[in-house]
Amino acid sequence: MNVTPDQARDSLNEIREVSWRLRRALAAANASGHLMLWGLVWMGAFLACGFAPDRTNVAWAVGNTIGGIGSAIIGIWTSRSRVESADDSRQGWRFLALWLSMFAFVGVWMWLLRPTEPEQIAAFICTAVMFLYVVMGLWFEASFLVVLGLAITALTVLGYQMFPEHFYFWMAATGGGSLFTAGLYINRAWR
Amino acid sequence: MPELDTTIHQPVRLRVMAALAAIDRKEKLDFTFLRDQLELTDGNLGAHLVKLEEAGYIEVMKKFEGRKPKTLVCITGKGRDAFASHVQALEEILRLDGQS
Repeated sequence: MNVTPDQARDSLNEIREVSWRLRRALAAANASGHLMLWGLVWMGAFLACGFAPDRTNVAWAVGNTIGGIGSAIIGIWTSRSRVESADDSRQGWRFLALWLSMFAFVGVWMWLLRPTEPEQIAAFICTAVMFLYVVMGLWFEASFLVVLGLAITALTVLGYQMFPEHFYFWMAATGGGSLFTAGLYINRAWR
Repeated sequence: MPELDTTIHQPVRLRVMAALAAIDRKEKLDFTFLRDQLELTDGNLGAHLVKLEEAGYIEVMKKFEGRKPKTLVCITGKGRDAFASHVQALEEILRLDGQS
């Protein structure tokens, strides 16, 4: 078979492009639904906290329950509809273990540090969750998760320091808004 | 020196193999997802999958999820090796061109 250097270059470029597009589409399929869902959960729960600061526990109990159940449904739906892996069930359990470990550590740190202000607790949990985003982004080579994790961490610190009296509303708009917008963008642009 | 593979070199089959080689060894791609990603028709993708399957480079599996039929495609070990060898051959052409 006779292939010119230009044809070889075109073929290699085509391979790179297909591979990159496919990985991105799979990342979009896996992440976009979760990001949009948790963006809405953050917006709803933080708005509820802003309007009823004495009911933050209830707001987050409801929000986390909706988010947890929704994430499980999205996870099963997206993995089955595009790619099927022999490791699907193991990976699902690994993700669950990862998040449960993080919540366990957050619980221990809260008990040790005993933050008194509910805004402190909220900022602490948000940055801990974003830390997990950064770790997952580095682990799965998903740079958008790293950027998103760092950006929302910076916004959380900024809001806590600059607008403490409007912190919950700030977090609903910037934290929830960033998660939802990132999910929507990935869903539209990367498929 | 690695040699070019005539089965893989055909443009559509090259893209199919590139897509399948991009996923993990234990993973299978859904036919419709693959079709949409490569912007092909059912018939076109199906015909090229048959060629690749005949060469032993891919496996096509059909199953039912509830009442819905589902087709899954994955690359075989032989296919992964052939694709890697084909990519090496293409890179070799560029390397030799750079030397001349």
